[in-house]
Amino acid sequence: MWSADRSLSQSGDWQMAVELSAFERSPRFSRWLDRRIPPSRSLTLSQQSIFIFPTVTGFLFGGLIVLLILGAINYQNSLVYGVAFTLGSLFLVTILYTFRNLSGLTIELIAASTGFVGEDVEFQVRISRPKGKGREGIQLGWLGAIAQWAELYDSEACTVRLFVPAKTRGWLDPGRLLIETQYPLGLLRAWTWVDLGARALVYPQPLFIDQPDQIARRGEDGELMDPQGSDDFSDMRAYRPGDPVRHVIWRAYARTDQLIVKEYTSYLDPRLMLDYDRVAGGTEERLSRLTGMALNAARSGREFGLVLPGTRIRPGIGDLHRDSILRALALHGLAEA
Amino acid sequence: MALLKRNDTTEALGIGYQIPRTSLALLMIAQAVVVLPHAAHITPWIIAVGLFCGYWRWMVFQGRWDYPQRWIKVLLVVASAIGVGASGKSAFSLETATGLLIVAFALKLVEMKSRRDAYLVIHLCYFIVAAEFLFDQSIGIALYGVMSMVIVTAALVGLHQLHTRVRVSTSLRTATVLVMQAVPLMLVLFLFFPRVAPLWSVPLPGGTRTGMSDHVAPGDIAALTRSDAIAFRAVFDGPDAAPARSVLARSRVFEFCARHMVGGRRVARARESAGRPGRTRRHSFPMYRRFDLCRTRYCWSRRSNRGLFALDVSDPRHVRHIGDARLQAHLGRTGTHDGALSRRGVSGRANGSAIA
Repeated sequence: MWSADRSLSQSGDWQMAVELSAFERSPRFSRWLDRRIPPSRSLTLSQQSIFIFPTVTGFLFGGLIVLLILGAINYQNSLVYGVAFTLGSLFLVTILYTFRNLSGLTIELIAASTGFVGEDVEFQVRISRPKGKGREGIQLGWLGAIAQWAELYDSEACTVRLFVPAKTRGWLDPGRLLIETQYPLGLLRAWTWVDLGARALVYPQPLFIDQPDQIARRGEDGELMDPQGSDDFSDMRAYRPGDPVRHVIWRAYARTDQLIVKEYTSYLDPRLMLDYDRVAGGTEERLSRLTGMALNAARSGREFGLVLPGTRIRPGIGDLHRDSILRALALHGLAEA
Repeated sequence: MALLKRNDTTEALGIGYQIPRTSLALLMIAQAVVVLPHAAHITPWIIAVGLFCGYWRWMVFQGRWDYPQRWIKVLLVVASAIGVGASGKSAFSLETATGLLIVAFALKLVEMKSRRDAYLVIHLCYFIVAAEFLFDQSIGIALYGVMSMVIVTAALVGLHQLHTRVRVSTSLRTATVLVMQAVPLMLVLFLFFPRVAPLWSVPLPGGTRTGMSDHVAPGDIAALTRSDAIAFRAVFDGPDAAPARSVLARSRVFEFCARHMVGGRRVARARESAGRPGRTRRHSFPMYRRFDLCRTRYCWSRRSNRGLFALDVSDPRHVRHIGDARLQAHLGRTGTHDGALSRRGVSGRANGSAIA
């Protein structure tokens, strides 16, 4: 018999997704929250922003205490009273512990990555605590994403990488960040929703189907050459069977007794213009195809530009250029562009 | 409020929350510690069930065995329930209830997987610590109870730490600090919480403390004649109650010890309690002189043993006489019966379960 116990219990964090209750989904609550915890890039938690309430376990614990007090009354047993009151006091002491575990923490957004639709976008959030007692058992998560643990026991600050699934292109606004703790006994939950003003750019999902050269226009200049072309002289070399007789340099043959052929090539325009009007499909599909082509072109080091309805980006090269092209593709037709 | 809910996909993959290993070990230690003092009064096979389940869980913990199949679990539960029913002393005695609790607790061992299971086990642990105090209230057991609570709390702390951070020593230290900080508040509550009279009657551990049972073993009677435990209380009222010149003039409730009822001595000792619990005095007095023709009233409460005590019975309401001059209560009823003390002495059985 083999058990999953060993391998899985060490596999890391809780795989828990953040969800909202019906109450927190109401627009009234979010308006109230906006007034109470206004958006800012960095925030230090205090009474103003920390909520605390018993968990289901906490209520069960309360039920246990009531049961014990009933038992103590009926059996007139002082020690059972003692157990009940110790548990009750433990609950009250835990309120302070749970609150203190969050109080004073500073939450700060460091970086937001970019990503393609279908991927997870990474946000880096830095948590730091004031000097003094360590904090532990803190969880952070954007709505709908997996929560991550943060531990500030030995260190005074840590960076947490949070991933949010990107579902549509454009600016991804993950909303408010949930920070919660149930430490130390799980009887109470202290939590807060902070708005760090985080947003990340999501590019269209790339589609790698079209051959970019089909869309590239042939031109008279540039660097990339089509070796089978016949436009321009490029080199001389020894004759190989099958070379066109037309290309043999007879003058050289007369002088050296060797068959030398001229090589000709044609020039392809190396500057790829990715044109919205020249790919097939609906808007999103076209953008996806163009994204795929842009990535291919960038990988092969070619100059490329972009033509979108209303936008034209001149051909260029390099990561920055690629990012500006992808950005234009991501924000095409969106109000925020 | 927003809750952290388990992700469906991760659940399907079976990589949902697992109890941290160190915390699980601590939890199993806590379970053993909590049950240990109960070993004195639960039937031995319950311990065997506990050891079996504990061994199974340990093998799972080490990754050698898997969790038991569903049918094995059902079998264990049914067998244990029948076992408790068959070996229990009476259906609703405290020992039976505790036995059932501990069997369920032991069986939960093999099913302890998720966080919710762990919470349930921890709540049961606290409850079992309290249950032990019903059987024994000595200082040693009280200290042991405090220690058990610290260990149980440590297991609870471990559940809320990062897997890699759970250490037995730090969890224990945090739990100790928590419990110590709870003590002052506990004392305040303990001193100022109003003590209410029992809301309903409950079976007490050990059952009857004095009197004769249905089975008599050699030495029982000798032990009874030396017993100072209270056999019953009697209320004397009416115009012919104790004479005014007596030291017992204001006393109405008297407690009789088995020693004085069974032994041949002519002196009974009654404790005066006159409705003032803090100011009881003990008096010795010649039994028959003071209480000749006094009306008496006996009170009993619902209990499993139907035998009644009496000095003598003149007005047997709610009471049955059975052939050999014994009195029997109707089963499951609470009531009183009136009697008169006469020179004929004690009839019926002195059975103190109602007043112990």
